Amino acid sequence: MGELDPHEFFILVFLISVLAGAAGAILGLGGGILLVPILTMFFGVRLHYAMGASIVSVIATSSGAAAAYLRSRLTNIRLGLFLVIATTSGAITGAYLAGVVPIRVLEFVLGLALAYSALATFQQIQMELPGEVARDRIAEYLRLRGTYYDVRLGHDVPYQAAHVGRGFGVMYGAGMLSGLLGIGSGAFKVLAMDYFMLLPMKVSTATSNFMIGITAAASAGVYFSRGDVHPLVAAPVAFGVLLGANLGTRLMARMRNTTVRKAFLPVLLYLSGSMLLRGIGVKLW
Amino acid sequence: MRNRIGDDDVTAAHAAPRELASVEYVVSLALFWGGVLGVVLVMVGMTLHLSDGSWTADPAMLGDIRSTRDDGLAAGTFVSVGEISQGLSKRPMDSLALVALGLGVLLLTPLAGVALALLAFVRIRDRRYIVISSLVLAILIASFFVAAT
Repeated sequence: MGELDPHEFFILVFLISVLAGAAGAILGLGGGILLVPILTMFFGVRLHYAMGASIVSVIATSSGAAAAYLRSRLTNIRLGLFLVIATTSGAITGAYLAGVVPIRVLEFVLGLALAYSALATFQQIQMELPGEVARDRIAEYLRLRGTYYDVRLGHDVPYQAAHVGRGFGVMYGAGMLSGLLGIGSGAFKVLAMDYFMLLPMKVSTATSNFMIGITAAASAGVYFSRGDVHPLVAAPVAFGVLLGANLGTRLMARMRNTTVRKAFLPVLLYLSGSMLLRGIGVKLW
Repeated sequence: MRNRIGDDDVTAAHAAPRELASVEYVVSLALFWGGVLGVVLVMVGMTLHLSDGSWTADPAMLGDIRSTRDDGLAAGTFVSVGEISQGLSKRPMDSLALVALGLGVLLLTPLAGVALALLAFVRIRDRRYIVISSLVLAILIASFFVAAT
């Protein structure tokens, strides 16, 4: 890209961040997966500053979206808090693994896991609502159930978490893998809830939005103290993403669950592909 | 046994819908206002920075963000609360320190959300979730201490 003056840099990064925030709010992701490649490839920002900005964007997306989703009961706060124990513990475990397992191996494994998620998502792409699900003892003990009003469908949707043990395990693994690599954790959270725990897709993405902020805050301290959060990059990102996430929540309410799932699939494929490539040494960013 | 009066399961399950909803409500307030406060501080700081001439005085700063050399921290990053407060107390105030403060507030917003969730669960006496949210809060606070070392 040619020489950008500071004001142009700020405005362009801001606009991209609005898009990233909106997409993140709808899909339960943090926007980092869009922002990191764009910041490094198109704006020439150094990777570690892009990752610092990505952490800020995840928290801004979460704060912007979760506030709205909590009010409309799309986010299940009990489920989110319970499962976030798994993701943050997984991330801590992952931090120890970082010294032991080569990064490329981790990236490749993450790529495979994401490819599996894409397949799983594709399998149930047409499913609007899960319907009756198996009873689960943990779900009953912790009251992991709820009801939300689906604006698009025009009626209340009661739901209940199934296979909570498996969901917790997947969350732990997700936290471990993506805590090391900094991205992709939102995608796994959505997958664990949608595919394993059989929650409505919109509940999955909304709850993921709440969780990603907490998980990011747990690792934000490290990024901050390493100097990876540069104000000039993080500022337009924070502003844009917060706005975009808010807009995204309004859009999401009006979407069908199947539409959200259909939008999710290409993102998973892109993530999986880029991770697999990185695993074999081909770095796109 | 499971239906004794005072058993948290019964209490929480029979709490009025408004009470159960209050957990979501207070947490959404914390997340919303934390996000807004953080971003407002960031915006004020950035506006000051872009208009008081410090950026044009140091065009190399954008180069630092964009260069591929690995030569340590770029000017403008703040790595501790101490550095931020130093920057804020300079006269004229370091506008980027204000931005960094806003970013710090943003980074702490999820923690505030969890803390408020804990308080709300205490209020409706939902013992299981008092435990769960305390655990999450403990993990978050521990992570800040780890980062500070």
